[in-house]
Amino acid sequence: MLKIKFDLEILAILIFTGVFLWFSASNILDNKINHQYPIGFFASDSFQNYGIAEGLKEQGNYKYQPYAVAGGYKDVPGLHYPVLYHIVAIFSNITGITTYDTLILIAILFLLGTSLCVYLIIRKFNKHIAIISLPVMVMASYGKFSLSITFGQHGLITGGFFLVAFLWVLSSFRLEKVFLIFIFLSATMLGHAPEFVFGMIFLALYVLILLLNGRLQISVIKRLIVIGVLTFITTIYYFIILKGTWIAKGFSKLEIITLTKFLEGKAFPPILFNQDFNILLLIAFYIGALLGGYFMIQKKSIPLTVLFFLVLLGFSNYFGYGHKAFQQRFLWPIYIAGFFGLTVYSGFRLIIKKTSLIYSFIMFLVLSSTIVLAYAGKTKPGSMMDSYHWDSFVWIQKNIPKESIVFFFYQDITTQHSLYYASTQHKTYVIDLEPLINAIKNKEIMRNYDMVISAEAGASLPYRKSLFSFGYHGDEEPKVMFNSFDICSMEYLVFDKLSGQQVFAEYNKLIMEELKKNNWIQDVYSNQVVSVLKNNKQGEKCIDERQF
Amino acid sequence: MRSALTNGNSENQDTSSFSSALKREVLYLIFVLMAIVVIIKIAFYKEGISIVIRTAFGIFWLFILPGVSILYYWHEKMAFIERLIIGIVLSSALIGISSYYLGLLGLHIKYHAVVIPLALLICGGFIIFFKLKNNQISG
Repeated sequence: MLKIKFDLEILAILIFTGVFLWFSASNILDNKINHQYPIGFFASDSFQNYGIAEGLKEQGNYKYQPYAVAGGYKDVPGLHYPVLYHIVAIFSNITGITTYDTLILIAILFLLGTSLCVYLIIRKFNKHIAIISLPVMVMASYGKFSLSITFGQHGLITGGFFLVAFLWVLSSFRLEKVFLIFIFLSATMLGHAPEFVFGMIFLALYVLILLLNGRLQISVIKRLIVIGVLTFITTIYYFIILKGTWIAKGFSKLEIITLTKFLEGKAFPPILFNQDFNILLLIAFYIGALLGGYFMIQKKSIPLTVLFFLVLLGFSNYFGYGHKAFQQRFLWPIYIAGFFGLTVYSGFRLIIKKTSLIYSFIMFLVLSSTIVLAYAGKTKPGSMMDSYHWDSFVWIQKNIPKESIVFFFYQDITTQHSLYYASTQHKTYVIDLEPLINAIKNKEIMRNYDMVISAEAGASLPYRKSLFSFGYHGDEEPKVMFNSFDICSMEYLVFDKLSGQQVFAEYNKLIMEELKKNNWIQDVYSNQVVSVLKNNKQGEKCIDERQF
Repeated sequence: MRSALTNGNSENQDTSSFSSALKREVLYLIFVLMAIVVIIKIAFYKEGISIVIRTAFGIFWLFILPGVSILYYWHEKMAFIERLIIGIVLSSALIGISSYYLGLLGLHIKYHAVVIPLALLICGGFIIFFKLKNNQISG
């Protein structure tokens, strides 16, 4: 009997892993690993992560931000979360899978890993509940929740992955496993700093409870010191960069953001607890939360405390964590699953007094089938990229000299700035829409066009002045970020010939025809949608300003 | 053997010798590798077998082997399933952190896929060897 019980748990985990991967792969990747162009990319942030990982593969390390990502500067330190990019680059190197496909695959695998770690946390409280909870976690790649992957919230996924492992170690072994705690804390810091802060908050709460209960012994303090010193040594190099860049630019500022205010920012569609979950799931959650609260107090259960902590992270926008709280909400299907499982299990125990893993396993199978049947096929794989644009980007990447600047005129994807440096791995400028719209309205062919740099410029392209001191290219040279450029001085120009709003495409074609009247400006690449022109006499008069 | 997958405390009770314990550990890992191949093929059923196998081996080499072998140090306190799941996170953490710093030190990332897991595996190998040796002596 004992043997069957244990086999069933392994079987449940295997089935869950298969279902989770199949469901995610269906929703996001069309059940394929390799794609002709990036699939599952619906926002600029996804391309940002791809661009950095791709650049890292080429330059070999993340000491500096890749040239294209840093808008052509070679001294901008690698200021984004390095662990994800390194793992993506390594996995891509060893498997030969493209960097963009690897990025999405790793994000899915990390989400699966997070689910399994939360499973282990719930398992510490009750194995039956843990098994029954698994099916709900599958929803992490469904509908709005899947935006964590497709909208490029990969830092959150990486940080969450290490955070839950850290919390599992703490709930299983207290502070006994110093090595695991410091490695997971360090990885969280290098994986995505907000989750490191959350981890430290939980650790501080844990120590505070020990102190209040008079259980903060010398041995515990010694362990805390060792963990602190090791984590400090492992993360200090990156922390200095973080402090001089993101923190200095106010990205870590505590800020209370209400839902209304967040919606104004339009970063991504926020998850709303009472609207984005099925009503039955919500009822089960609320009952489970009540039961969980009772057991947490009665049994002084650390695993239940961890689960409450994880769910509440999504509401930390009301405690000053701003938009980072809204990121956490993407992981709610994983975090609330335990409370759902607790309700189902408790209800089941009211009917059948005897506990058996077979019952829990059957319940797991029924719930998994129900969720898959209810939700499969409702989230469609896709991308903001298409094969025509991707072909042109790859051509640029491979054929245009690294030091050349590429200027992009109107494309339907123009507003997604990260897409350009990431996909071309070149210094790029993108047309500024408002003046362009005015030019079209006024029927003007102009010689000068306003262009915005496509670069990872959120922290104003910092550079190191000394070990602890940073300057900012973006602040010092604003004209590099945004400027009016003479079209005749541009070496490579990219135009779309088709558009969702054909007026833009017609304007592009008009400019192209004007430019190509000069025999020194030629098509060097062309497909049905995109044309790349090369100007062989930069600075030479190439267009007459006029009305059309 | 199967029950030991999820029961850390009993895992060592049936370890009669060094070789049988090592054999059991290798068997677990072979089972895990086969499971990964099957699951990846099911999830990505539109993909050819060669890319599925490359992906499965990539996952096994980078994320399973290093972590599971290092966590053998605590095998009396952690069930295999715990070592497997936490081992995946540990591998990712160790590879991510080491790769970052090795890159800063000048070792190009194209070598990391071989060098880092291999180094971690050697560490894990030593841990398994000495743990099993100690168990054999105390047993």
